[in-house]
Amino acid sequence: MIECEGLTKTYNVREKPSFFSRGKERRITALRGVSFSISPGEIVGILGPNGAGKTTLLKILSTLLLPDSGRALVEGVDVAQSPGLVRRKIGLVLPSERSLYWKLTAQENLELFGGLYNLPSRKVRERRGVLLELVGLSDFAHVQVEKFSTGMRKRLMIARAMLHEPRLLILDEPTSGLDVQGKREVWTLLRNLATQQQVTLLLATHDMEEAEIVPSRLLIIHQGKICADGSPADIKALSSYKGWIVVDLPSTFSEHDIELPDGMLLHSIESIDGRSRVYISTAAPQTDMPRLFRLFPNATRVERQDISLADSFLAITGDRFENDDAQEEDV
Amino acid sequence: MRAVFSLLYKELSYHRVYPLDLISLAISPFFIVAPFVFVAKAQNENLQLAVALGLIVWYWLSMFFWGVGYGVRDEIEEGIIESLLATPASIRNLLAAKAIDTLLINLYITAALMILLWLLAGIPFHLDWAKFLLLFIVSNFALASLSFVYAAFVLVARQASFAGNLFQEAVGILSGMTAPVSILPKAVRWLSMLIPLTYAIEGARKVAVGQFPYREMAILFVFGVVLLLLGVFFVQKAEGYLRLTGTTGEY
Repeated sequence: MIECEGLTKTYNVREKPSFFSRGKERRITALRGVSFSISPGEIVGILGPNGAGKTTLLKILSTLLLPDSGRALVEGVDVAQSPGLVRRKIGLVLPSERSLYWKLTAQENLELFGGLYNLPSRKVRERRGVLLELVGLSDFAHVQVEKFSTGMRKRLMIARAMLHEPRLLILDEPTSGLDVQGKREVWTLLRNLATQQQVTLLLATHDMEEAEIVPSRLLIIHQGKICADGSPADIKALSSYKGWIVVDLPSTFSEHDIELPDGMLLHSIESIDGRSRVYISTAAPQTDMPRLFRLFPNATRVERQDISLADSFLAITGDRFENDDAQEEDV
Repeated sequence: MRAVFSLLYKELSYHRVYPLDLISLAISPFFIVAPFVFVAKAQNENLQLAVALGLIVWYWLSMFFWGVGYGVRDEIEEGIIESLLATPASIRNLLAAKAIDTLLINLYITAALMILLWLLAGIPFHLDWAKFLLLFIVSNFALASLSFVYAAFVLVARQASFAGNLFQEAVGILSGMTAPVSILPKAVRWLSMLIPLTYAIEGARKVAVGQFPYREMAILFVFGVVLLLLGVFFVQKAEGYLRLTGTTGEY
């Protein structure tokens, strides 16, 4: 469905000019030789911190941006060479809820975009009914989009992207700005699209819950490179630490007071009302639990917690602020 | 064409959403035009009609610059331009829809302005309406094509209202909007010959005296074709530039 080979993209960004100077120009590398492929029917999440290159990658795949080098194919069609053909094959959901005409109704928005995809009027009428039903907006077909909640707009954006029956749906942060209920509605909708209509989904997110629930495969992007590729379970397993042990102690401790055996790492200590909660990451939580009971005989609680996707993600990507600087160079 | 008509429907729907804007479009041009017309009326009645027609035709250009050339910024500011560009339709389709919408608006403004000038300023527009309508269509074609070139500039420069204002004002003077081109300094008169608006104004004044402006309409048609080709070329280049720099959604 998607083949990417060595995609690179840099942006030239000029600092704000002063009265006497034009402002220094910086070159920011957004993508550094990104290669991956996605098979039909897959649900793939692109997970990365802000500025990692997620949106740049999606914009290249959706023909809004040209790569500096490398190649991206959607169903065998080059996105740079034949953008018009690629646009017929994909549906795009952008993060901004402003990417609809707010003064038009839901139905008018779908009719307009049906025209832009050159769909026959009868087909548009059919599809708009099916899609408004699918996204739960049938009763709001004649309501102006400006009257919609954020969640309704996001669902309408998904309906619009599905209008021409694309086999690939590209979504950039589809649940940004939504409450928990709204997110769950969109996740259910996306999973239904994938399972019932065999649509391949590629979604960028930095929402860990979304990344764990929706995609079957994750690409972790950091500093413009894919640094991990696998199922959410595989990504969690990549961390050298396999879990947390939380120890509650009856008095306050500092980091200097605690000496841990090899294989364990003191992550943090929280002090609450004269007591301490110690977070320890460990490569072998099963065998380390008894050792910690012995080490802290006064502990009121020693409890194992599984490593989360967020823990693993942070372990893989490290300190993003430190690394962001490394992506820039003066021109 | 389906994409153009869908976008045109959107443009027309927006007029339905803002009905007060339509009323304003009918009335406000009169207040801009009236001071010049009354000054001309103080001189003689023929000059009054010539000035009124000059200003009406200049208004067509102004509407194309704001409605088509600068109008592409509406989509950028609304945040919808990237969604449009992700479809098989192009910015050219959007501009074509805006051009047809502007042509209809110009027809509406012209009718409203003529009625108000007749009622409030006493200007009798005894025109051959068929000839005037033909000139209107050819002139609007040429001016729409010119606004395509400006749209390409707006796409790249983004903040281009200053250039649009400057251009419209300079073109207004050079094209003989209120005074004939013949009284302009010789050094700039050649510039007037390069501006389609000059021929549109001259043509309107010929219609007013009962002549058929063949020459002006032929020149306007050639301008329209050449500027349309240039406009499409530059808009394509601008679209390529936006895809290269990733500045599509910025404003």
